[in-house]
Amino acid sequence: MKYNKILITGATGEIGSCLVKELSCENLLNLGRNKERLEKLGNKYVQCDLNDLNQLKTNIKLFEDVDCLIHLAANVKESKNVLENGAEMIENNIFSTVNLLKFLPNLKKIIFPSSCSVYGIFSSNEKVDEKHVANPEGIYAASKLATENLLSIYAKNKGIELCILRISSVFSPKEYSLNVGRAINIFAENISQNKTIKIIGDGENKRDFIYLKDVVLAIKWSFDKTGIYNISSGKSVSVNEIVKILKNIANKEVEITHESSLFKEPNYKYISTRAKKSGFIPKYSLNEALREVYSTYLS
Amino acid sequence: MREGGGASPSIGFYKMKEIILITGCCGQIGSNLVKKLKNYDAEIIGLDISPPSEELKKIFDDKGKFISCNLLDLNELKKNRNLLEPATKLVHLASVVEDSNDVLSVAEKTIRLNLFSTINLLKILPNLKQICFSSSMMVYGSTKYSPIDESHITNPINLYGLSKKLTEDFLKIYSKEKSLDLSILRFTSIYGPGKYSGNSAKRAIPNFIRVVIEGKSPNIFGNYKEKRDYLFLDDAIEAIYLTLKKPFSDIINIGSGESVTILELASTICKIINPAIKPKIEGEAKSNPLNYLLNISKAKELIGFDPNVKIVEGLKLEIKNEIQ
Repeated sequence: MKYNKILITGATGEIGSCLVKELSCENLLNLGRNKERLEKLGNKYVQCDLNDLNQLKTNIKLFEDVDCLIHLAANVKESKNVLENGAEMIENNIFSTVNLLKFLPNLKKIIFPSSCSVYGIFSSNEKVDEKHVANPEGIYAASKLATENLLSIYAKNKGIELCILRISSVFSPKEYSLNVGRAINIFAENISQNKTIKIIGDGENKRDFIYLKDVVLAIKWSFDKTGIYNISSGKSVSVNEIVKILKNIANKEVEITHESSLFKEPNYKYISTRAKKSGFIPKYSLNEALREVYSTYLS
Repeated sequence: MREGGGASPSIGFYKMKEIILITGCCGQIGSNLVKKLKNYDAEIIGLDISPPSEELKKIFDDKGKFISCNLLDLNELKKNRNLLEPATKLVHLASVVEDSNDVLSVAEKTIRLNLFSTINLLKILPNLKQICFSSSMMVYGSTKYSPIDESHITNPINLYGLSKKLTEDFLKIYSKEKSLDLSILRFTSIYGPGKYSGNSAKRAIPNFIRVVIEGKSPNIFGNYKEKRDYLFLDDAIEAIYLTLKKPFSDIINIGSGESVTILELASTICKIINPAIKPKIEGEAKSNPLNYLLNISKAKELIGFDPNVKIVEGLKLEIKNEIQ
């Protein structure tokens, strides 16, 4: 690894904890808020709330020689209630980033995992590459986009290498998804326990799913990259199709019920154009990834 | 988009009077907009942190109210709730440009002043039907092509552009939830007679004029072949006026439709004030100079925007006002 000290914020989260395991190098510094979870990860860590300048100050010495930042920490709770949650979202995602950067004087590289939600919502057949206009439709997405912009401005001023990864809908094995509560995990668990699967809406809404392990591979890959990249499978799959694949993997028949939804869920389709020749190509097929996920529910 | 809309929506036999709230009403754009709306059939509420001129004060006495208020102070806003709450339209001009290369030291302040103030404001305006937000071409950042249309990627290169885009995005989410018309006007650089607000006084035009009036040569730094789009104040006001008359929900560019090089700009100013003075070139012309020109066909189509003050005429008016 060409970096002396890599700081990973949000280290105890879904992506963070998997990344830390996969990187398995000496020079990591994990940052998170939960001491128990940080200790479980094993590496050197700093327990710290990025919203609190004093906590950052206390650890100033630890940050001094950090030359690479992987900034995963974020408030990910999407909301449309601009008036109630807007300011807090900005404080949690943008101001905390500003706070952190003030304590990292020797950065050479920033890897920022962002989200494909910065593009907004699409009709099913629109192709969305990195050149597409960003039009976020929730305050989380808006805050992610603004953080991208902030990092771009800062990195350019300081001559820091910046790689932004716009990640599509992530799904992950059981051990990483415990605090997330994703539909795919609930389906896998229900199938493994022969329980009825509840799908909200008609299940025809599509998303571009990417497997956690591919996200981790993408982050490793991005050590030598700069610019903005979509990290996605390039295919969109409906919820019904996911359930069908899981049932095939389990070789089981389970009852499926559809619950009515007040809202028509949008279709999400993110295509990383290979025109950007250096784009990331996922390793896992959807089938392989779902097979791995399902296996984590059998024990 | 809502059909027509018009200046006076009516319910039954009663004509509902529009109540227009203008934030930043004492700035260069705000004060001229208020004057333009003098005979407009609506109540006008002005809000600013600075006091209004005598002329504006008279208009407010006649047409509505002036509120002196800091938008970051929600309690102060709440004190004026009775006056603010009935507003049906918001022209949101209040904004701050932080001029610093130290991104980290001004990021929080810039976002607070531009976005958080907007969020506060929306909390006490439950009856809005239209928001007219003055954004900026700075949201586009470095240009990929020119003229820049509204589907050009946004990649702000400074905090002002960032905070404008962020505020646009928040307003869009809010307006969609509330089904109100959000008319976003992305303005190019505006010039014209009157006092420039805050950091905009450091812009090329007022700066060149001041220097030439003092009998000195204007210095041109950077790439003198770089082209900019300058919009005369009256045309900018007209764009807002048309937006109020014909509400729409969209983003439109508001520019002059033409661009000039920095050198042409300085030469024109010299010619008008004192032809003996010539601009001094400090920078160098690079190949492929940038052309910051806005494509304004969407504004033409949507509200019939058609700027009619040419740069030479506009500069003459601004200079005349400066010399007087």
